[in-house]
Amino acid sequence: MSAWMVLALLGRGAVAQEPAPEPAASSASSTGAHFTDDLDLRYWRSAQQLAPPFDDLRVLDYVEQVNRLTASFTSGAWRGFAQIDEVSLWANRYRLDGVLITERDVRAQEVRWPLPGDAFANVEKLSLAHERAGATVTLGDAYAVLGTGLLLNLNRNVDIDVDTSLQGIKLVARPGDWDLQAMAGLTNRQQVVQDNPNLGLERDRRHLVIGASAQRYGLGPASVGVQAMAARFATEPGLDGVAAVPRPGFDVVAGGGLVEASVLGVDWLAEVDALGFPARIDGDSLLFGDESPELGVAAYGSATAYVGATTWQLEGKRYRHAERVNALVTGELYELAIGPTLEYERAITEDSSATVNSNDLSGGRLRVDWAAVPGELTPYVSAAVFRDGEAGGAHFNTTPETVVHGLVGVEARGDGKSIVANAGYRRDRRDGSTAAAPDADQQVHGDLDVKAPGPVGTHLDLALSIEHFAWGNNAFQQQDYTELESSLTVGMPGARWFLVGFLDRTDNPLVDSKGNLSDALYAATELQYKAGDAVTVKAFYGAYKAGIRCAGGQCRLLPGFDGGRFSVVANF
Amino acid sequence: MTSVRRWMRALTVLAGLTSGTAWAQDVAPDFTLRDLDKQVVTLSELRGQVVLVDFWATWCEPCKEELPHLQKLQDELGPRGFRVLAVSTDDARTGAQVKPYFKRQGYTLTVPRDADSAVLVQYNPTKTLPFSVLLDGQGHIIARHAGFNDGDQDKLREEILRLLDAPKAPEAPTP
Repeated sequence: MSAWMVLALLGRGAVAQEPAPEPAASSASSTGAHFTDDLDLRYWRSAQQLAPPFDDLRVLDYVEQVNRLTASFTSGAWRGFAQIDEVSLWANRYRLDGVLITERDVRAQEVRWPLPGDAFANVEKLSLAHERAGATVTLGDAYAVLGTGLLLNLNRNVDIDVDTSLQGIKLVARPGDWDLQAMAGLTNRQQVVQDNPNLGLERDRRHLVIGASAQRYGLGPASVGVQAMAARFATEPGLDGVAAVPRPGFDVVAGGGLVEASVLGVDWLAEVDALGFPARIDGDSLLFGDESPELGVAAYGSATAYVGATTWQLEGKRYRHAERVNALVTGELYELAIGPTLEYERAITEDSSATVNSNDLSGGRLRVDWAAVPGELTPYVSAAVFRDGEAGGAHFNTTPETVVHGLVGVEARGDGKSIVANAGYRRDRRDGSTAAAPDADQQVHGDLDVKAPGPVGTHLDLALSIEHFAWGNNAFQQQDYTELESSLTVGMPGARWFLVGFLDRTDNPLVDSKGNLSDALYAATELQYKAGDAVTVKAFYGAYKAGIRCAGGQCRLLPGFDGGRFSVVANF
Repeated sequence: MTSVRRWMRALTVLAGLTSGTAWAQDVAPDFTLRDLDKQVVTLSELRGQVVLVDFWATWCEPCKEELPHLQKLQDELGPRGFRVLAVSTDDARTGAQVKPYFKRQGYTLTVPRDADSAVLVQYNPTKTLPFSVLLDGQGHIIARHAGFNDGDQDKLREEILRLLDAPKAPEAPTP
């Protein structure tokens, strides 16, 4: 019996213990529980092959099975939550000349696992909360957000398979017009991922984070708040990693204020924070490397005005050394602080990610929406300008640059039909560029999503994204490329069966995958079945491309896929 | 082949375990959040009404497909005791987009802000959006809905009407 079956049976057992539904007239202060189970089986076709004469053997292909079980319960003022993940690899080894060769391990060598087989399980999240008199105390895992996220924004990001919480204690209280919160704990990164390969899983580094905020509402049309955080980063994995840090104090200490107000028909929001980096080893800060530590600044503001049927929103930001907070955790595929990006994230590429993660960035964006038919037709325009002063980092800049990004779009909905479309042009002009010798990255992009009733009671959804990127005279000259992602979903009558076709295309040499139709072309199909809201079953076969995906202010390079996958999501 | 057979057996068992289970009629976890006007919204204070708690975000397209239908249901059935709480799970980063979006669409639904997903996790541990739960007048969870496809709004309307048309439970005597 495999581990996921055990988990499923455990879940069933818990359901059996649930109390019978109460009569309708009873108080709703009884106990309730809710479970979900998400099982994924994936057959990975490897692009690698053995050397001749064994190149026709597909021994490098393997199978991955992932199961995620969650349980939440409520009993009066108590609430609990647990998430247990389990992963195992199958067919990931072969015998050559009598020698057993394991091509892929699910765990890194230092991660001990008591059971036989190439598997791993982990209690990813565990929390217990108690609410009394408007105040909540949470022990265990909780998300941690301060202000607009400039200093601390530990949260889940389902779109890119990231889920990091703070494991410790969190207090939230709302006495009168006040919102108060305080938290302290160690970062807890979700180890097992649902959509990406689980290979060489390592022990987590646990960074110490403390934070607090207070917000006062009802000051006429305004509210004001203050927030502060401090972090001490571990360089060794495990619970003893923080204690083993060979330097005194905190690596980051930061604090600031926030004001929100509705004045003269305009909604105002402003946050300003200062960041210090006090901890030193031989005079150097862990987060600055060879550079001399400087005071950091993170500021964000927005003003939104409603003029007739139009909405005008002006945003601005200034981040100076604010990204240092993320310097050590980026490699662990999450970020501690994520402020507003002001950028259309779907268009962000490896090169253009400076607008998300630069240590010297100023920028602004104006967006105007016109509710031509409120709730049904809204065209909009947006223009953003950024100045990136950081040369280096992961975004290929060797000189400062000025980024200009314009966007037009429309959202139209009604009678079971909808069109969401936009198109944009972005130019990253490097300093030193002249009209005679233009030196800029240029990107043209467009997105289209059309939903409409189809024949014989079906429902159709066509999604299309395309972009062309030209590097200009870049010191790290890359190949210009064009990428396409598309899907067509046919929803059968009754909204239970769905058939999806996917087609991707890219000639971007930075993309680390190969298509199944040709090197540049990827095709796939998926069949979905929804048995009410209790069970969803999906069967996928084909390939999709690798690439960068940005969501929620975070970017992640996601691997491509070629093979088949079967998943069952159950709620009980 | 042995391992394939083992998998098939396991899948069959799992399908049997899960497909036969129905939603438990459990109680909705209570919560207190602030809405777009910074007013406190407490779920348990809405007892006596049929409530739909809908989790959405400005970056979630299917959520935005669903919202106009929820507004229509609120407009139509609100006078009969139906209430939608459109809980925004936009985190701090996109929080400034929520109010402008609602105002320009002309929506009047109550929008509690759950910026750190503390409430979402209790209702939907998988954290996918959109996700909604329908509560009866006693705060019991009657139905959960994950995702949105056109036509779902008709099923939801039927569920709401069934609850609104159900005989009212007698009030508990006041001590």
